[in-house]
Amino acid sequence: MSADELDPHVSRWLEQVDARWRRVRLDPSVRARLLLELVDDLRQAIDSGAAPADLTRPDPSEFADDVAAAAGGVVRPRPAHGRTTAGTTDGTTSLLRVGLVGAVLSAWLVYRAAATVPNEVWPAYLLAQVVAPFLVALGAWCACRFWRRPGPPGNASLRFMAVGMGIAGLLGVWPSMAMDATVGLHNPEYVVGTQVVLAAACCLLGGLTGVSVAQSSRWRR
Amino acid sequence: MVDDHDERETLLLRGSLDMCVLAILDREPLHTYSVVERLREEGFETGYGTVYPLVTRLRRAGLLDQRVEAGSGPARHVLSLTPAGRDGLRRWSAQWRRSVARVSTVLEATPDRGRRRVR
Repeated sequence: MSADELDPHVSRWLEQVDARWRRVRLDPSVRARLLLELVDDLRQAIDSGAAPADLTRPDPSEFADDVAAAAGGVVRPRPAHGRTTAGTTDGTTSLLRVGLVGAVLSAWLVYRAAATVPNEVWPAYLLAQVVAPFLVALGAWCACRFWRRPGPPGNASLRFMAVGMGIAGLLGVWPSMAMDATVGLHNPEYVVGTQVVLAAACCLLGGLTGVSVAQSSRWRR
Repeated sequence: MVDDHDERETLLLRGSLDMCVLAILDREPLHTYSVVERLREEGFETGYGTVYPLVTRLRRAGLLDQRVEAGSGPARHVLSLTPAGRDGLRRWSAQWRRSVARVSTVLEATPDRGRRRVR
């Protein structure tokens, strides 16, 4: 029995319930089972003489959340504030923290290499080194926040994340590497190594932040 | 002062709704909507949208089972208590009676014998 065979009012309501389950990304197999059971139950209720309006709760999303939670598909309570505001605030705050830590460490590296940097490129060099961690974290954050699909990670999502975080890492270290090459600067090995570790750490933390925000905001839609 | 009589009653009944669903289904297996009708007959102001998630939760907890009812026409699913559901109903009923007895003892000891003053 499909939902189309039900009363039009109930069918429309069911579509809204199903849309809610899709929005909160309920596991597809759980969603299919719940929908099948609900359609069957509604059909029997109508056959028993129930008025269609008596079967539908005013808020289909609330009903969908209750049923999903009752069936073990976890649906977090919807927060009062909107997804965009909360997601942007959380993401920006976390991103700034990651970038700030990276920038401090990067500035320390510049200080260590100060003796070998020509005076005329010193400001640009410092700027590139400090901005780099922010760029890395931002790129990785975007890669994970907007490309990762919550739920069981699919191959396509993982590829997107890997490529996105790789590009973020390259974008972050490229300015300082290019400047090193331009001025003929040969940093000590430990400085180069620390830069790479720093970029990787910022990339990882930015990515984790993006995943976290993506997962928390999926329930706010 | 706002009279919260209806709200209090709703809260009290809501907390015992799952137990009442089990009790109704202990009498005879029923379809979800029939459970709603029985509850209404007993004075509960409830609806299908409230009872269906509740029944889903009780099924998941293993207290209710859904089986196909034999008969002519399209297959009908009815809900019935599992052995765990009967055991749960017995324990919840005993718990409810103990709670009611405690509350009654407190109310009976008050000067107005538990009656609510409405001015």
